[in-house]
Amino acid sequence: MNTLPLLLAAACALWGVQTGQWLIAAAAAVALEAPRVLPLRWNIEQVHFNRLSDFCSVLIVAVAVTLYFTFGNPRALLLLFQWLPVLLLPLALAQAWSNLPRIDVSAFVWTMRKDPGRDRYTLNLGYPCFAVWVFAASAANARGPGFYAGLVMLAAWALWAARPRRFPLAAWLIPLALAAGAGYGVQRGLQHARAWLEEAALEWLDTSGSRSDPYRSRTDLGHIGELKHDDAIVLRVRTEGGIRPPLLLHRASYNSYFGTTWAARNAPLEPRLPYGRSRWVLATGASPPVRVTVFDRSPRGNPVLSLPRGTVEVRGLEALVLKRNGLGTVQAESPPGYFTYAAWVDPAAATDGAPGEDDLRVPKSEQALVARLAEDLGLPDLSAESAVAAVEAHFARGFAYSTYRPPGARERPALAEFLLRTRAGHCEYFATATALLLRAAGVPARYATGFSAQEYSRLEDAYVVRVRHAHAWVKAYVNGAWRDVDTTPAAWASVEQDAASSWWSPLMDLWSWMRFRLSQLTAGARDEAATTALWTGVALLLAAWFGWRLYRQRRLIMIGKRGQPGEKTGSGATGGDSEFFLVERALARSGLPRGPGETVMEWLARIGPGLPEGMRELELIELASLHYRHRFDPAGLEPADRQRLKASAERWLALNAE
Amino acid sequence: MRRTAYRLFRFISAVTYRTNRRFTAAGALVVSGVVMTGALGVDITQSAAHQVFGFLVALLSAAALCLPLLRARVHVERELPRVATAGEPFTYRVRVSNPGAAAVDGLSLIEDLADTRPAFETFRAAMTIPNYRAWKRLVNAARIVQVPEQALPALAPGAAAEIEVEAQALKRGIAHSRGVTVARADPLGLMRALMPVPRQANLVVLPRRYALPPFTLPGSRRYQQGGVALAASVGDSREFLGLREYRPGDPLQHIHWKSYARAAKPIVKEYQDEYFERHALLLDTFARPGGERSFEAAVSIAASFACTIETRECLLDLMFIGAEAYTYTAGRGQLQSGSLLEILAAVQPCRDKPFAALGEAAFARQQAMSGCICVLLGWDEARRELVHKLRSHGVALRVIAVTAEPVEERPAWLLVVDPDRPQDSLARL
Repeated sequence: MNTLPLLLAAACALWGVQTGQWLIAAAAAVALEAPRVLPLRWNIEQVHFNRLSDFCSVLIVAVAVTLYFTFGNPRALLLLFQWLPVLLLPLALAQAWSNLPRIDVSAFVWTMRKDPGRDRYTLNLGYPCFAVWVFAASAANARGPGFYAGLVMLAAWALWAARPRRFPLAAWLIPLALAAGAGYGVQRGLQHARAWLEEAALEWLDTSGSRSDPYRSRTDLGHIGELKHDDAIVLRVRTEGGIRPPLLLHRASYNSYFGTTWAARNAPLEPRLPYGRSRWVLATGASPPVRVTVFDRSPRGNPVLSLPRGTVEVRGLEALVLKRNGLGTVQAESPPGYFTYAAWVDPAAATDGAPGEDDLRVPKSEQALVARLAEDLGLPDLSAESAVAAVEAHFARGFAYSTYRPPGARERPALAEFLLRTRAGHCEYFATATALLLRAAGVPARYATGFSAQEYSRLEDAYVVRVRHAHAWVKAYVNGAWRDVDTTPAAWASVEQDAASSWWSPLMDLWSWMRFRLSQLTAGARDEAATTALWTGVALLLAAWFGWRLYRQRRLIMIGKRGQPGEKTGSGATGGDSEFFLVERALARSGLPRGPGETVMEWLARIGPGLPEGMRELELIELASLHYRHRFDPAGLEPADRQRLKASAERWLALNAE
Repeated sequence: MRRTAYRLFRFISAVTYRTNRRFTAAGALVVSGVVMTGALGVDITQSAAHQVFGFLVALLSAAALCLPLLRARVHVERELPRVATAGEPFTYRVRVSNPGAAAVDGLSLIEDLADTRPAFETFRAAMTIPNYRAWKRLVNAARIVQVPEQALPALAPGAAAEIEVEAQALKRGIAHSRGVTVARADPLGLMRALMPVPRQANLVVLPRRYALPPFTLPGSRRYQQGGVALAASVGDSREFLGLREYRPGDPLQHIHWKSYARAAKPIVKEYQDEYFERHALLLDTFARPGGERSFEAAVSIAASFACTIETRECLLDLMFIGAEAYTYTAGRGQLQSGSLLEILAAVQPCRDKPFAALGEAAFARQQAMSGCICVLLGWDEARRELVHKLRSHGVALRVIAVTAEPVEERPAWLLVVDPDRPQDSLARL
């Protein structure tokens, strides 16, 4: 490696600090810097570098695929970058420990190996290796200013080697300091830009689409409508006991309507739920609860749970903390990936608190419309129960379901259109209208969003919930308990299915099922400490086997203190200790020297006739062939042959030396 | 579609070229780091890659801001050699001096050769499916010389230094250099300030020549002892030998009147005629579209003959068809054989004339030539016909066919040269 001394060790240390993998960082640092002190090198050729590069490529692809199936994007990509220097360690070690100062770039680009007429580029892997360690350290998300300080110091150290010498030190320090300051400024700027972007363009950042993000605590009318075309599977639900489809899975509720947006006011996500005996308790119920198992996946972490009404306990969820807001939204703090939990449901239990004044407020813009309609239906005179029944009857009669159509710019307010003229819309209109009508009738009502589990899949042996099963309904407070009021015509699911499914849906479902099964199989790998230990063990075994093979092939060379191949040869690698040299010296002393540039066999053929009596030429030739193998065969001599060479030479010397 | 690909490849190669000139090796590593962390760090909550990205971008900006301050004046004197030989290295000296008041360091010398990217027609003819690797091969194949970048030593104020540049001539042709560029690295060592020094120069790369075994020129039945380097004129020359008695039939203008007056019988001056050999070297330039290798081998063989044949003893006419029928004569009072090599360096395949034009040019001079060496690009019907006609006119021939395909019914006097191993085939001459 042509890097400055200890630079690579510092980069490994930075990586170790950022990722917490101290053992691996220390081992890599030692292995990469040791060639500076140890005068030991391996004879590694270009073709071996080609093979090592192929091996590393295959390794990276395999690890990438495994990570993708275990963790899903984007976490898989980050983990891959975080572990990239370890995956490329064979190449880096080969460069550090070989006596080849530069390797041809064709080792990394396969098409270049096939093109004989190209220009040859060679490079030393020292600084690219350093760069990979630093970038990998950045992919691990340890927060704090320490990383930036470490980065600037390491970069300054590395740039020290590259600077032209004639410039004064100030000419180098000032641009560097300016760059460090500007880099810090850019970083803060990016963070502020992100915060601003989060406020301004919320839906654009929420790439998954099907998650109503409780951080935002708002949902626009049309948000669920836009999801209706997406056929992807998001949940798998298994029910037991008396729970039968369609099952409404609640995710978030909202209590405040203005413009065309429902918001959750005065409902922060606190407090933390108590955790005891591997379950979180949401409420207490009277009758024994029934289990509903949900398999979900969150690409970004910290998911919102989809729970049926009346969930009293959540068990089996691997999360640190569970939080709830007063409107019934439950959020878990857990890392991204596939997860599963069991919701124990008692339909009669009271899980949400008592209603507040927000649950009765009708916004000014809709007040006239809703009040008139309530009057027409005679709602204010009815009791809560009958009011609900009347509203349900009103919507069941004369209203139809139609798929979502984004409203134009200058259309009349959509709700009025829906209630009075078109009498057709999708679930959000039905739910909003129902909630406002009930509020006008004096019944506290909330707008609830979530999913509807209806479709049973035999392949999965569970109810399959797709993005287009996202639904909105109303929670009405009747007779001291909250109940679900769903006025959307029941055929909405089949209408959406006809609209959204296409010929490749079965293939997409199959693919989704395969990913799900693979994630289940690798569920044990989520425990990062255990996988690290496993892979470390595998890597150590591989390294040990590789080193043993190299040793067996006698490719070890001892080099002098300055890194040059030394005159003294050790451990028999170049055969310098062959006893045939003594025989040659004896023959030279007796007047038959080997000419300069003459090979041994030529020499023996030349002196053969002139050998005095007693020296047998054939024996010499046999000795010479053993000697050749010892010196030039990369595999070396077998121990038995080596003994034979030694013994024959000694015998010859004993017989023929004066 | 191909025009879009052509434009795209031109753009990519231009970007690559500018990046190679503008960034040092460390700078290239920083640029690739910017690209990688930029892609990785888009979501800034997931990783700290955006910190690395910001810092690297700031480093590059700081380096770029230093560049206008680095433009020091450096005087460069470069003498390109006039000729070089294809496939062999050549060297030349460059002298740099620093007239300014401050020392300069971190300099490199880059030779600005002419752009060898192909025109659109060549590109379209060369590849059916455009891909970048074939484009690179096309660009590299059009390069005539290759001059690597040279590091210049540090120059104190007022100091001068001389370096020797080792370059490689790749194929025959005329290489044009627009000048040199002196590149100076910034204090961080990432980017370079480029100071171009325009110095137009041409370099002729002669074709590769092979060693020919000793051979006899066709038709040289007479060998002049000691050569005939005596006369200064070309062609027939009459040398005064002496006086002799008049024989009936001698022309009256040869009578030497003074001797006639003294001897009282007619005396005539006797002349001896000297004949010079005039050999023709016929080069077939009608190459097929895929036969560039054979054409280059044929030119190399012609060049080998041109520099081996002793033009002090005979004249050599080089004939080939280019834009018109060209004939160049080397020998006493005419061109040197080195000039023939330079002419051969610039020969291009003829694509628009029919093969018969070569026959016509040969027959136009067949009265004057003692013998002819034909270097042909194949042994097809038209060429067989040409050789047959020349033979039937009594011209002594040496025929060499350069082709990779096997020749059926090869006559014994025909030498077939494999374009991949011309030296071996020529040994059988």
